[in-house]
Amino acid sequence: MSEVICPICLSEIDDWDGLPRWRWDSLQSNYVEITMPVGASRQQRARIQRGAFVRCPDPSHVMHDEHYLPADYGRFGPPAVLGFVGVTRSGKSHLLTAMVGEIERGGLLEYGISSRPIDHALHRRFLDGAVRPLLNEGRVLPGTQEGIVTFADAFLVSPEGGPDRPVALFDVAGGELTRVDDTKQFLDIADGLIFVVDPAQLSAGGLGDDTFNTVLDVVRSTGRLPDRISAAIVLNKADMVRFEDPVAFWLRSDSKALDAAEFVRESADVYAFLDSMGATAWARPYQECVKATLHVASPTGGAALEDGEGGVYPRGVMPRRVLRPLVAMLAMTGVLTGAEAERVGI
Amino acid sequence: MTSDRAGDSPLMEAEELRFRSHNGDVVLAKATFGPDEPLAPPFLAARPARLADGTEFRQLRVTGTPRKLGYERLDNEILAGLRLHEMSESVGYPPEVSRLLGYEATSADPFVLLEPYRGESLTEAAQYLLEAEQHQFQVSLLTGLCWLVAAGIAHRGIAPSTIRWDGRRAQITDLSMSTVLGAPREAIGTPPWAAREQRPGHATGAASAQDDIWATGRLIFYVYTREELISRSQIDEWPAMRSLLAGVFSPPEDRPTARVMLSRLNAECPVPRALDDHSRLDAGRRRFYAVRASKHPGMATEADAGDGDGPGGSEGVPRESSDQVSAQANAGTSPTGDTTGEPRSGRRLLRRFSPLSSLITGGLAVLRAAIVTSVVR
Repeated sequence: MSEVICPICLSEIDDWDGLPRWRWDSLQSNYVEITMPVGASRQQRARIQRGAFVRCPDPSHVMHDEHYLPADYGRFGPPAVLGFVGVTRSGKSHLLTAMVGEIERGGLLEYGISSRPIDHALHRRFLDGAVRPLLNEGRVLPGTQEGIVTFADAFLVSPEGGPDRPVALFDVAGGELTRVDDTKQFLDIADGLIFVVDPAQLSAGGLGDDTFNTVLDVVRSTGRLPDRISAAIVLNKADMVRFEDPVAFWLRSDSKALDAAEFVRESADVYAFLDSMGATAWARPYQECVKATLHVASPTGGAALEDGEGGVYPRGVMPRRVLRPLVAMLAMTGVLTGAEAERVGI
Repeated sequence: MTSDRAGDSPLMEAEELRFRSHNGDVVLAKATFGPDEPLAPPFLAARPARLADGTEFRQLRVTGTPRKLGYERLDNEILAGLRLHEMSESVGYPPEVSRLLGYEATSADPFVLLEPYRGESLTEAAQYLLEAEQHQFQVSLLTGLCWLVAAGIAHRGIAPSTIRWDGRRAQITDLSMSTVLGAPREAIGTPPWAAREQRPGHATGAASAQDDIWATGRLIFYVYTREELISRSQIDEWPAMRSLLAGVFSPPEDRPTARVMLSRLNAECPVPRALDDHSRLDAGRRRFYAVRASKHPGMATEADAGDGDGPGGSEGVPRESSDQVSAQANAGTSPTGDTTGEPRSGRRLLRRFSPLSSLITGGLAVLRAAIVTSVVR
């Protein structure tokens, strides 16, 4: 099995299955090592290991503290590491939250893709802390907390007829993305980046999004451009421009098919939309990554009464097209297999 | 005739309205309102109103619960209204379609402001429309349809209640069920006027400019004959209808366009061809395909890719092309004598496959003759 790289410290872990398993002990508020009873049956071992973690060996002591990863993170080979990039208030967290909400609803199944959370406790926290407040209560989410070094949620993705593959979703505070520091180590191993464009911040002749440019420079410095990282550029909060061409069309057309040609048409339209606004600087990831797509998405379906925490969406929350960038990314990063998947992003 | 004017009803206390005009300006104005009208589009309430400067309008608001459908219906009205304004900017707003004055589309209580409709709905007017007025009614109705197609809009709700007549012109109103051409079809519309492809269990594929032709044809027949259309044989009893409605009740792809139907009435579609053929996004799309080709040498160029279905070319762009070819086949003659009449994608296809296209066109004519379309309801 190929080696797994820790997304927190970038250590290479070549014997994932041989590492001791740990579990979170809420009474001690700490991880405790799991001791497997002698003679435990296969079923008993499976039950004991459910929800287990491994402690990253971190042999170079890159991080000050010990850090743990869900045991399933590396059990199925190297995970696909996906990150969300965009300035503060671009709606990254709302997009990620709406995506996870759609996955929870079973939206990936409509594409023939099964999935399950890799870390149930983390997933439950994300559901309770983000998905339910947004989708059920129509509340505006707070901005992404700074200093978070691990993924927001992760899934074991099982495409129809294809192998299982873990997928980790990283959300980083916009402010952190404009600096180069240790909080975004995952960028050095990311397989795909979802660049989130806020229509309100587009400006004719603008230099583009600072975070896009900083992140692309980081990725370039690691030698992964143009072909070792994929990009999905999302015209986010598309409800703001829902009466404009070609956004009106795409928001009304949410097909559930993996159709490479349709991704090309959508990409051409979004590129043309940015071009018509004089904002092709926001399309830089398309130019720099061999495999790339552009999308229209609306995580909420409408605007909030007040921006920021405490605000509400007066018309309720109705996400539109939020899974398509993820599906395209799963295809471009090889999580989805087959001839059609290979054509996505080209 | 009745009127939608606020002046006909007792006005309520003035309210301050904040809305966007069709060109995006934010407007703050005091308005007084009449009572809700008894008849309004589904999920919406309608009432007449007047601004302090005397401007009269009709306000549509969301009513009932759940409100999601009402929001969507208002969005449809706004989208169609904005597209009609944008499309007709250089040629003047067409009187054959209702006109958006302003909208508020973000709050929990959004609304749309429309210019008061003209005349009265065909629910009443169809009973007294004179024979001498029939031609003008048909021409103006089909002209309105031409403008909708040019704006890239499928109305999907054409029925006696949504078409008005003021003695001179028809007016297509209530765009709350409309969508953009190319969007997935849905079960929507008013039986028996809604076309088969808009009915539950039959709504597949993408909304096309021809979807409205069914209802329009049915309405023209109803106004002309004052008979409900039950059987195709009824059409044959009326020579004027037989030629005008040829192919109208065929499958959508075989129906004539509004432009072709106008030509059957010896009238011309006033929409300039340039409006049919142009999208402000074309240059950007070309640049996209140039970047794509630079990354992936050998991949399709824009010229090829632009022929694809879907919005990569269909947004706002009426897809009359192939329909026109079939429509000409339906009519058996060239509607305008314009041999370059078929817009963009159709022209490209015909250039590439011109010998084949002759065969196809001829074949369609033969096929059409063989198609029996007796089901009209």
